Amino acid sequence: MAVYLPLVAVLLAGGGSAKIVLSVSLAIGTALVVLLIAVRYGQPLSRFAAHESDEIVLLTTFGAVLLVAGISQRLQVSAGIGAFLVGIAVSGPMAQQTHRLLAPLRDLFAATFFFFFGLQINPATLSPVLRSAFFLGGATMVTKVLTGYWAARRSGVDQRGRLRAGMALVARGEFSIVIAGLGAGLEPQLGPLSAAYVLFLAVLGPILVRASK
Amino acid sequence: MDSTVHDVSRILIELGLVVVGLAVLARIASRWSFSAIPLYLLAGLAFGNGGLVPLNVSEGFIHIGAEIGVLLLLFMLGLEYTGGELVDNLRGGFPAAVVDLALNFTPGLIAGLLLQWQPLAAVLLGGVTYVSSSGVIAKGLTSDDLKTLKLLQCCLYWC
Repeated sequence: MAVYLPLVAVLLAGGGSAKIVLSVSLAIGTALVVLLIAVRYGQPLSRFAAHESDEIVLLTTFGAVLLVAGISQRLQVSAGIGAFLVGIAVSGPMAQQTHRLLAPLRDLFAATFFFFFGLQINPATLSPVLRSAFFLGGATMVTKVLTGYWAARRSGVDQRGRLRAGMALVARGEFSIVIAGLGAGLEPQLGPLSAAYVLFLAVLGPILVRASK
Repeated sequence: MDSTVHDVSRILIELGLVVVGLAVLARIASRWSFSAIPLYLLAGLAFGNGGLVPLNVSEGFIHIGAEIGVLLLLFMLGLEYTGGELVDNLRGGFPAAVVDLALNFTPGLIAGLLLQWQPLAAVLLGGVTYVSSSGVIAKGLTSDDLKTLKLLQCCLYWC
């Protein structure tokens, strides 16, 4: 994502090849710098920001997420990667506290996120793409199971575990929606096809996981 | 003045109905121990443009909420890793990430090209099929499964 999203964002913005190379390197460079800061200085930063008051920690972390995400977006890194890196930087006891405080907020806003994506799609545009979504879903269900199976075997997981790991990867969700959202102006069928696709696999994924137990 | 008061009350009522509606869906999903995400999506389809009951006043507000939602999803994901783990996973999981990219990005890309979309739209469709969701599945996995997934997904965020 840290490479793919900036690349696509820059390609969408258009421009000559020199400009594209420059923007992409800037984006990846920024992501690496923030990653370095998060890995190297995560602990001291967390110690500095830590506080026993829930209120203070909530405001600090939520504010930091929005701020870093906004700046990342400006630099074409994609807001999500910025937010992910803030999560990496928060460590130690503060990570647990933050988890407890922000989980309810995430639940509220994540529900809004999926709802909003549905809002933007006109149901009438779904029927022409249903068949493609179904075939694509079937094909990529198989390829994801293979991927998970292979990766789990590599790390020495037993037979059943391999299959479960594969099944667990089948579900697509938030990332697919973010990516589909980028191309809304580019191809009118991308949104409806992705919506049908995500619906299909978000339903099928959990069923497969349960069946493989 | 009167009209703003009216607008605010209307927005509150719409948002309240939306959130209560999502709560009902989440309740149904948990009853069947299922992910509520597909239901949220379907609810959006029903209330959106061309749906059963179009809802237009609070869409701007919901849009910002949606943006914050995806940020918080990713932030909480990052919270699960320490910096050291991330670097280790990146090293160990690189081959898996390459396999994942080859197997799961390609079908979307090919489908986009077969549908005669612009190349860039096909690249986006590749991205749609490529990345697994971390939010949909969490229940029902053993710690070993989770470790494998963590390894794989961690690489995804960097490719």
